[in-house]
Amino acid sequence: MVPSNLKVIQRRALYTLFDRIYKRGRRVQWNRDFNPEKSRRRQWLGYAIVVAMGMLMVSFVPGKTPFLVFVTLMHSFTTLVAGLGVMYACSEILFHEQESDILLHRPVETRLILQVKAWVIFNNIYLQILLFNLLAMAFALSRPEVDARFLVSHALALGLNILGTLSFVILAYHVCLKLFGRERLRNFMTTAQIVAAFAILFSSQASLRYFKSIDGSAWQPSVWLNCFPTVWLANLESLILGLPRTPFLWTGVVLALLVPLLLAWLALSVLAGAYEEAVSALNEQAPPRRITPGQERRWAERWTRSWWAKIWMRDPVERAGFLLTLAQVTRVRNVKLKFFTRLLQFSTYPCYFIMAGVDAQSSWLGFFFPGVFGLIGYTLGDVILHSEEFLGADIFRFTPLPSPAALFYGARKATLALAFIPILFIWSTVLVLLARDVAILESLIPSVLFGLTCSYVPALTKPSLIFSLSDPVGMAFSKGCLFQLLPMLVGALIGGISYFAQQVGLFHAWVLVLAVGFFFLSKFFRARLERQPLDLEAT
Amino acid sequence: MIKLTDLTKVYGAQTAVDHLSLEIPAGQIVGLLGPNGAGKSTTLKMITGMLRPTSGTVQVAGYDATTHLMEVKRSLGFVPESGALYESLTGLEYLRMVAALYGIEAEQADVRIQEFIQFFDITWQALGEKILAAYSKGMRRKIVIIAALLHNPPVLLFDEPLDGLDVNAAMGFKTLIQTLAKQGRTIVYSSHILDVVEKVCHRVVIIHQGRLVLDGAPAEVSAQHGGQSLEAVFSKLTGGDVLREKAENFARTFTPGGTEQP
Repeated sequence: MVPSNLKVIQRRALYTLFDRIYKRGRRVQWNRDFNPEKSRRRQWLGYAIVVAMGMLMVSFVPGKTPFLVFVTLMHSFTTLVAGLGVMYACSEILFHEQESDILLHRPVETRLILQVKAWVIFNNIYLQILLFNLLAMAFALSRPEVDARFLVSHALALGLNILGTLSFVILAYHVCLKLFGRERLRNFMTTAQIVAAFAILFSSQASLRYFKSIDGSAWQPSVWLNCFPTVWLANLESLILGLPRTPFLWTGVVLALLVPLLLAWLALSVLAGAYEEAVSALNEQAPPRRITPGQERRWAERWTRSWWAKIWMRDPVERAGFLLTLAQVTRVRNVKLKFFTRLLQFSTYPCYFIMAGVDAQSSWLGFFFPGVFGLIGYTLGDVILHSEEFLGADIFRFTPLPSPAALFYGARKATLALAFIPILFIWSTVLVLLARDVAILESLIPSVLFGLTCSYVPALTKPSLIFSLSDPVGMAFSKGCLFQLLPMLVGALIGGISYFAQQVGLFHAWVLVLAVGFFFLSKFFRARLERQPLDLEAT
Repeated sequence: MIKLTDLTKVYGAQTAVDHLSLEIPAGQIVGLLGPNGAGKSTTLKMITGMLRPTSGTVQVAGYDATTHLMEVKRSLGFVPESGALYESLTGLEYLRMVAALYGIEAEQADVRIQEFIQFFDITWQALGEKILAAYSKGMRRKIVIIAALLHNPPVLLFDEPLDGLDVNAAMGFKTLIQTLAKQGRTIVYSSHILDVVEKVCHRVVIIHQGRLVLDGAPAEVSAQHGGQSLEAVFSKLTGGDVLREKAENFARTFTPGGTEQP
């Protein structure tokens, strides 16, 4: 006998399920002592950290700017932070590879599963983003044109922001499936995610840089500003606050309401059928595909057998780590996603400086870089610890390796070759073109030294074998912010001292001190890594 | 109870299931056998509605899977080979969630879960406190089996159900499915362990390269093949009879201390 309220019961059960999965994250699978009650307490701590992180936004958004610019900056900052959150939540929750074995043979519609998942992601990210905006909202109340209505208008606009971002990402999946079909789904889904992540990051960064450079005194918005989705939301808020109603404002308001709802309708209703195909396709036992290693892979294998690779990586275990990293980065969905999104993100940073009007006089930029390079080093070091194929790392636990260090060194060298050096090359070129002087490159030395040292840190803070951890989702957002902030802050300090050293003519001496300091620090880090035991199953 | 007519599944250039027709009445346990990649799991997934057939039809409990998919799914209990679970949930959270998907309210579900855990020797405390990731392989298998039986379906599909179960639990499970079949439930039992299939199943079906190559009662099959064991018949029909010699030849390549590099 089927109860009449079956759909309600199912919706409630699925919401509870996906909400738990989101909040606990797949990582708890490896925490055998996981305690749901303790996890709930930790969640509150996570929320408190997110509220505190809102200080970043307050410090970034200038008070004496027109209201429209002020709110647009808040939304740009929000989109930047929320975009990646949405992206990772989607990649973890929307397509769980074994889900069809758990759910698809049960009497529940796939459309309902998609809608409930989207609702869970929306609610969780919305709550975090609301908390992240809390301090800036309080700060905004001190503005003359703002009253209590702003709290409502901003909450509404944030909701539309998250809805639009989330629907855009889901839609990107559906479109990929429709365009490229089931066979190539995995690869294209990852590519779509990378492109969508980059689009969100780049547009929000570009909008941030543009609006930050606006001089508030005599500024008048032009109609083309409505090209920025964040401006639509600012227009909606201006309308709610009763600010002057111009055609520019109305255009933005209509777009702010229409676009997220249209995207959501397309993603969660019109194209929801594509989701069912995708979920079952992910688990289909298609005929064994003949995998021929790509040209780059054959090249890499040949290269690791060359004498100069053997000089750079004397230990064969290091070379194995190098090759494994190459395979993970080019073939495993979540590693590929993180690696290339970050690579694109970091490679295009110099564009923002150009947008912000940096010219030949801006040699100080080189000293701003240590924070960013610290972040690059830390991020790359972190990427090589996580993989959705984390169970595969068990193989290393059966081998007579004394520690996970050699594998980590090989993996680290692969990220240096694939990402760090190309990013460094792009940045150096942009800097030289901006300053029209090759000598500016020496100002990058502290950044490079700091970045290289930071790449050891994740393996020390999360002692693990390479690619042996599953990706955290949910509350990892707050921890992620915190861990990214630290290299930025230390880097800013190094950059500041470097700038001062240059001003007083002691730059070369300072570089020497840094080189010696980082050499010994790296040695210390390596010694600690080499003392780590191999059996790290509890991580 | 289950009727497959000309069931076919094609992936690109490869046919995983090739015009398979089969009828299984109520109260019968059918052993579905075949080498790796023969199309067993694909067939089971088409019966459950997880995969759409390229052509042909599936009928379960009188419902056509194309037109009445939800009714088909409601009539089925499926234990997939992967034994997939949401490992960040506790066993109780998982089973309550599964019950809700069939419209069983939590209180009602708890009563049923109590009965199952008693049978499978699991404590309520372990079920409610530990997340599934912390369970042993056998315990996880038990949870997957409970999740398939919780809504009391008339048709049961098992894909390697004994994987991970200890001897006692496996024995209990075999008795359970035999009793369920006597009560009129239709059971499809896919496995590579031929001894168990021979003992438990009323009928054996062998699939090779997506095609049905043998269908009959274990005793009949043996008699038709000159008293050979089911294992020998299986090997003969699926091209495995040359493997023994191949394995012996390969074993000779292992020299004493063979792992040492020259």
